[in-house]
Amino acid sequence: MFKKVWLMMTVMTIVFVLAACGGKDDKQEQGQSSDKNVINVGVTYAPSNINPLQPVGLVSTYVSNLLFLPLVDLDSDLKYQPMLADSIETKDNKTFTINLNKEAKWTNGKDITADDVVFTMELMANPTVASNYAYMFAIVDGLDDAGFLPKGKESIKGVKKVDDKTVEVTTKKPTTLTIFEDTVGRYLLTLPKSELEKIDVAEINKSDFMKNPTVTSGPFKLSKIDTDHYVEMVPNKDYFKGASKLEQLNFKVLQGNQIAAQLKSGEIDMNIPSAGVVPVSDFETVKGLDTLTTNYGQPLATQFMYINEDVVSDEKTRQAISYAMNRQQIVDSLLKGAGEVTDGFFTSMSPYLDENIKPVAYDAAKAKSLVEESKWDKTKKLKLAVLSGDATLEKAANIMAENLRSAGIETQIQMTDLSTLLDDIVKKDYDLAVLTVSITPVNPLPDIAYFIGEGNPNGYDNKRVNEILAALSTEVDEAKIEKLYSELQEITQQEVPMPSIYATKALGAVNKRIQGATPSDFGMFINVNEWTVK
Amino acid sequence: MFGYILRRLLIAVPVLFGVTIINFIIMRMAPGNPIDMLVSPKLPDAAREAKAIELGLNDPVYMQYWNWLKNLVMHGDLGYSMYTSEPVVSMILERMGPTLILMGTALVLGLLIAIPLGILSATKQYSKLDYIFVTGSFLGISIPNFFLGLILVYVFAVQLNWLPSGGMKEVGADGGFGTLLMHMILPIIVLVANVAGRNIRYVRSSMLEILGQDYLRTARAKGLKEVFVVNRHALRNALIPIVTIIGLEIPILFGGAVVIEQIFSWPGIGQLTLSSIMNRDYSTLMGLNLVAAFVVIAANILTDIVYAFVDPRIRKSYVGGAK
Repeated sequence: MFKKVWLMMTVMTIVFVLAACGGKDDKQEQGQSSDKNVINVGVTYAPSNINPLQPVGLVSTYVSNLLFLPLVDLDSDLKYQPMLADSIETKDNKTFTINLNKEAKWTNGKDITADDVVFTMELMANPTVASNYAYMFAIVDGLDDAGFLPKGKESIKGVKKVDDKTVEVTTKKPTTLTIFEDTVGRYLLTLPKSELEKIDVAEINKSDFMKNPTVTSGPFKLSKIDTDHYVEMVPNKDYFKGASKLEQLNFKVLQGNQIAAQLKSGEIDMNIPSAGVVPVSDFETVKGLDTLTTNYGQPLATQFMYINEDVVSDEKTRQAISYAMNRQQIVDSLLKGAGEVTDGFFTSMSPYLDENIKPVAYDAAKAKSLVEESKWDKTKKLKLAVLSGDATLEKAANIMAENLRSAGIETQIQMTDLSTLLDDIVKKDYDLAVLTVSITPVNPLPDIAYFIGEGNPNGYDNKRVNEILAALSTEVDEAKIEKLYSELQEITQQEVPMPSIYATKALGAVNKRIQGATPSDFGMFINVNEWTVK
Repeated sequence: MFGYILRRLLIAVPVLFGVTIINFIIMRMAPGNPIDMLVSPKLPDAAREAKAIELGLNDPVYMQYWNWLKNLVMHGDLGYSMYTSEPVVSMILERMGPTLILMGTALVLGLLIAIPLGILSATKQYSKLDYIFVTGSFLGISIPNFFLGLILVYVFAVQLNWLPSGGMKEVGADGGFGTLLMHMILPIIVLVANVAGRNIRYVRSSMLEILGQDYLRTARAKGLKEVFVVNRHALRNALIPIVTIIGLEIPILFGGAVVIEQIFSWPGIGQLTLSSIMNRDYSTLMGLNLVAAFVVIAANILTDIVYAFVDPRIRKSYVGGAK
């Protein structure tokens, strides 16, 4: 009996060893990406879909944009670069002329025309399609505030085909070119009318085309997708801006803690800083790998604290919260320098940051006295809801809670998943809530209006703020826009409706064998067709 | 016997029905909803309403359940994922294969290790070997899956770079049996440690109980070799309770896949379940829950049937009961 068992175990061990060896050979034959003309990009969010009408999340957006070009794209210097459109022009800030690239062609060889652009805009605006990006088009004349067509209408009043390669779009109110480019320009991913007009609109999101688009316009074509795990793409050999020389460009979905390991092993070649997030604890490992070039992104993802004014109604208590938080300690001890202290809606990458308004400095004594002045009930315990899953934020929440306790405000941390946290915020069923928000630096108005404008989830109400927001929605003079944002920063620093705490700089890494690619949150893939492998 | 099986199958139908209702109620009581995840909260209500209509979430809750059930019964359709717009059936089928490969291999290997080691441990009770196996078994049970998983990834993938840290194939390659095997080694080690650890103890105690029985003394007294005593008389009887354990193992493995699949990015049911929960993807969750309930019930029925085959006493009682 004893012999039999040992015999069996020996056989199994041999099988395992053989399997391992066999596998090793197999791996060498097949090669990881580092042996091939292939680039694997690591991401930490799943591309839930690749439907250009409503991409869900960051990675879906990146993939959709590689398959279907936007009109223009924002580069890492926050300048707009031509993509499907050669240019977008306006003389009066109401009528915008979109000049499509004359060479632009679908993968089936047909021209990309104004008809395709108009057709896609009508699809986006169709309430049956229920696009989650329809609101980006709410500035267009003929659409409601959610960006939808009124019932019974099929064409958009403000959208007109001029000729095969020119479209004219009229906005409801005067709009800056920047805002037009940031909305219509970046979020309209033109689709082929010839392929989609035959599909029933109600079925369009579920259609095969949205899962496996056969006619596309971007530098890469979809080869295979498994939404929770990877996207495999091959070059569009007829890409009108020049075909990529790569064999494949792949996105690989990983856990945050796998990014460093796979960068090291060569299983991935690079990451997208804010969509393939390297945890702060792995920064040193990644920076220490001599196969990689690393860079810090700009401070984008910002931690904001929602304050429910039904619970914390006194301005002085809110000021106390802001003074009590030792932001610098959080940045120094937890972010290892890869971040910055903030206390408003703008980080240092924003063109609208008024540098004369310094972030509130940590002042425990002042916080304490403000709590006294506001007659805050010290026996009251506030729930501090914090988004779970981000180790740095979890640690920062502990520092915040301790800071607030020292000032006389008791809190209890509740780690909450995103869906629950959003639901609580929407229903105003929270006391304090900390959530990461990335505000588009060049067009911060939609986010700010949601945070502190009418009907905001903080319950904040200030007449002057509402006036400023209304003025900003029609102002086209950049100097005046800057002045209005400055005033807004002064008011919000004084009244503290929704303080921010810190902004992180995400780490980007790229293998040295890749030429031409620089990890960046904005515009990283604009020149993807020029990327090569050494 | 046939009547018994039929009866069990008929009872399974209302049980499954009940499970779907309970799941639906609990799911809808949980905070959060798919609209919050799909539509930015900064958008006007009209955008949220349009999304609710598109997803069928504007109907009263009982109607939503009724529509789901009607679709299932009439068309065998589990609807579309609220997140990816893919048919739930195809999403589950796609991920079923990887889970079955991983779990099936882990179960078979785990038992192949547990049964001989358990027997050996029992026959050599209180020997050094026994202590080694029992300690090993405790270790296997006590080390949390995620911990062992991360350690293995750190050692074999990060430091030694011998094995891939996750996935089922290299991205961009077609994969093959060798690649699959390479990717399976680490998750299988974690699962096998657990399955074997758990079962060595079951086999050992079941065997010990049998070894003290009078009929084994009789067998030895009539001059049978120890090998025959253990293998023919003791093992066959000791395996009866083990069959139950194997039946219970299947749903445990099915559930345990969530952690392992997450750590090793294994493209199976577990990962789909987790992402559906996080995204509040109601339709996918309903489908997954139905499959999980089915697996548990099927494993139970199967266990009962196998039980009857291995134990004549039970077979007899079924026949008696069926009369």
